[in-house]
Amino acid sequence: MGNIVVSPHDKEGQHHMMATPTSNNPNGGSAATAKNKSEITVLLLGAGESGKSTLFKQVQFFHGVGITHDQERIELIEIVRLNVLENAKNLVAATQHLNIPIEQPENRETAKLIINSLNTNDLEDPSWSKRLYSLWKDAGIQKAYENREKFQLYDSTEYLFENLDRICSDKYVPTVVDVIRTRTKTIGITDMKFDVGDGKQLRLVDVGGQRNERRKWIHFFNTVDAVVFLTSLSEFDLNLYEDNGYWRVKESLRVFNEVVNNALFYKVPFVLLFNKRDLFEKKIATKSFSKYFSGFNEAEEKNPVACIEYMTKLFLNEITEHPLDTVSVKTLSAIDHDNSKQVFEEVKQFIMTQQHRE
Amino acid sequence: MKKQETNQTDLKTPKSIADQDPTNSTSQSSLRPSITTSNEISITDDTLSSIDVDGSDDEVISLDVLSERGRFLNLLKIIIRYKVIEISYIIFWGIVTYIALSARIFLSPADTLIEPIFNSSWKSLETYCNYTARVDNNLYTLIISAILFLIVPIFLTVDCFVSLIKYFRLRRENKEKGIKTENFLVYHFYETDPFVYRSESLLRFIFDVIALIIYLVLSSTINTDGTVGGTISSLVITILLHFFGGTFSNPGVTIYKTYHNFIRMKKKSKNALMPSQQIQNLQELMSSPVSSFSIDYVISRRVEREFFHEFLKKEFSVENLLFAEDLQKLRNINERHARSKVSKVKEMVKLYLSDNSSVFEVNIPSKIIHAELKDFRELTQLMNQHGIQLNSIPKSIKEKSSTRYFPQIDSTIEDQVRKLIENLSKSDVFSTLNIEIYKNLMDSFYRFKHSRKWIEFVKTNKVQI
Repeated sequence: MGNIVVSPHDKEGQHHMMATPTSNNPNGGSAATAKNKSEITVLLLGAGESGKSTLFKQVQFFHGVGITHDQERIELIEIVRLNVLENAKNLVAATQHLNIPIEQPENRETAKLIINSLNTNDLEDPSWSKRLYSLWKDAGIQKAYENREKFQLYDSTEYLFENLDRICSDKYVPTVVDVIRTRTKTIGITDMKFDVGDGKQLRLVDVGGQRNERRKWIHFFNTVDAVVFLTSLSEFDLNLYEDNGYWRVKESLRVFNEVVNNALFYKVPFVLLFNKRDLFEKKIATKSFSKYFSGFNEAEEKNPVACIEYMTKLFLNEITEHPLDTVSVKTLSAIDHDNSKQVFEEVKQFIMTQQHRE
Repeated sequence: MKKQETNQTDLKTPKSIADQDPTNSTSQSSLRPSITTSNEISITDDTLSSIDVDGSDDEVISLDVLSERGRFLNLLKIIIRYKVIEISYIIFWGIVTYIALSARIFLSPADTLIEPIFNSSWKSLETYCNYTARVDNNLYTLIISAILFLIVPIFLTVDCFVSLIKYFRLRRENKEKGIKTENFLVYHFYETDPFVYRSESLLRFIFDVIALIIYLVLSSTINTDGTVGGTISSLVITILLHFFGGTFSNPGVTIYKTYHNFIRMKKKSKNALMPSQQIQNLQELMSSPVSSFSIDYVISRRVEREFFHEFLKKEFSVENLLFAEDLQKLRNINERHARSKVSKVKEMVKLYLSDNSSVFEVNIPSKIIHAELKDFRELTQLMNQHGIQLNSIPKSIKEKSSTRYFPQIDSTIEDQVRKLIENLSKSDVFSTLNIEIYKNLMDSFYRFKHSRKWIEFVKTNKVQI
């Protein structure tokens, strides 16, 4: 069971000491379903930065809740700008780390300010848009960006820098796309409910993916009706956020193994989503895929379909207990609105038909 | 100078600082870097100096005005102003007494020479004054002294009543806002009276009474021949009055308490977990962006914090709030209290920062935790190597003193240990952890603001307002 065992959460003494679920309650999932047939609980699981919250936000968006309203997005200004600053900071720090000089002297000045004193409030000044953009276009920063697998950087970096003129304005209101592309580390466990017809409600549960957050997942394992496991295709050259020096794919496989082979999920429909397909296709065009997977045929490494097939096999090989006919594998690009809508519909259909079969 | 300017502009445009952002880690030690305190010191007039100089009773002097450089000057100004009131009061009564007595003396013709009971220094004037007049004079002096003597407790009682009324009003207001109010004694003698005139007057009165009793006892028992006992009693009175009670003013207590207060003020403004002034009420909070300031506002208030805590419990992320609060507690421990600092850090590392074994492990990249705990790890390593127990760390370490605290180890290693303890004792220790934890809280806080329970709470409070 690895480290998903116990997670006591409260200082005041309510220790949710759950035994390892293998022993006493193998049918916990279906038992819960029998109790409350009208609600279907779907868990979004996966390691850190696999796109769980992005998908969650997309689902919120096409169900007309949360970020759909301007008023709620205004509150996220700070978070979007924080993303810009963190990206800029990480890039500047990376140039120092990788010994890449920033070429233009005025950009060096900007970099110094970013490291030392800049805060999100300053970004209200439109002049920062030009300065940051010029920094972004600096040859040194671009070189660091090309080597981004060597440090931690958000996927949205390029998007945010290309939209600086909007973001650095005092009239800025984040668009839905801005919010979806903003990276926020999910803390804790959060959920949303919406109707799916037949008088049924779907309860989608979003969780954090870092190691300590995973210890909290167990609280939902008993009541789950379906699991959607996300993993990022484009992480094959990256290391962990919480533990720099640990390969992300290895972590994803480990987490997948723990989840899919959990006794509580034997009878539960399981969806494996390969996310960030768009990024992945861009990435394999310039980077070597086979370098990271020794068993992969090098001649095929520019073919995304072959690569995804290989990854699929890699993940499905981890399954030892779960019946394979209730596992569905799909690819997704969660930042793409239409794609995620379509994929989520398919996932929903799959879950519903599996429910019916029972 | 620049800092002062920014502070003052912040006063005028509170919004400008409200959206401060936690990313600028290197220049600012804490997340709430130039947070302004709402802990205003209201300076009320002293009981004795009831002469109202500028006509304001409860003048409020905000700490922002007392910014870095101007702070000392301002403090000096306040002291001088209140000392001036006191001195002018003393001079006023002195002049009145002298005029009254002199008038009496000069109006009466000279008479036989008899030792006066009081005012032996007036001997030179004896030739101008006859015996009955002198007795009268002594009587007047006595009466005036008695009046002065009685005025003090009367004023003290009246002042106490006024203060009591104000205190209850404040407590009611605070209860509505959900802030805890200090008890009355603290409020009366400390918070509303930063220069402790009240306690000083009370002390003075008590000492006067004691001195009087001693004088009476001594003069009635020992003083039969009128020489030894008289000298002793005069000595006792002199000592008591001038060193403990003071006849008119007691500089000792004032200076000590002023210094103490001043230190406390400075510390508070630096570290304490305080509601930001920028957000005045819930309505403003609801419309403000999610920032470290709005989080601070909620967790600095009892009722609001409870809501947030409940919400986090439901989302399984209480550890972030607990960590943020513990970090604040750590920072609030006096810098010299080495042992409690180290043991607090140890406790926090065990509870939040050791991966896999921490019950409340927080979601912060290991790289950052590692960098921040470098000093602590080194310290524990040194302590293990040289067999130093946590208990053998002195309760408080004085800076720059040459005392050896760990005699069993080499002095160079002791220097290392002390340096590490000093680093851990800094008031802005773990600043990047603080930033990270606030980032984590921001994610939960955004959802918290839209939780049904919270919105309902804000709505019901709106009705009350």
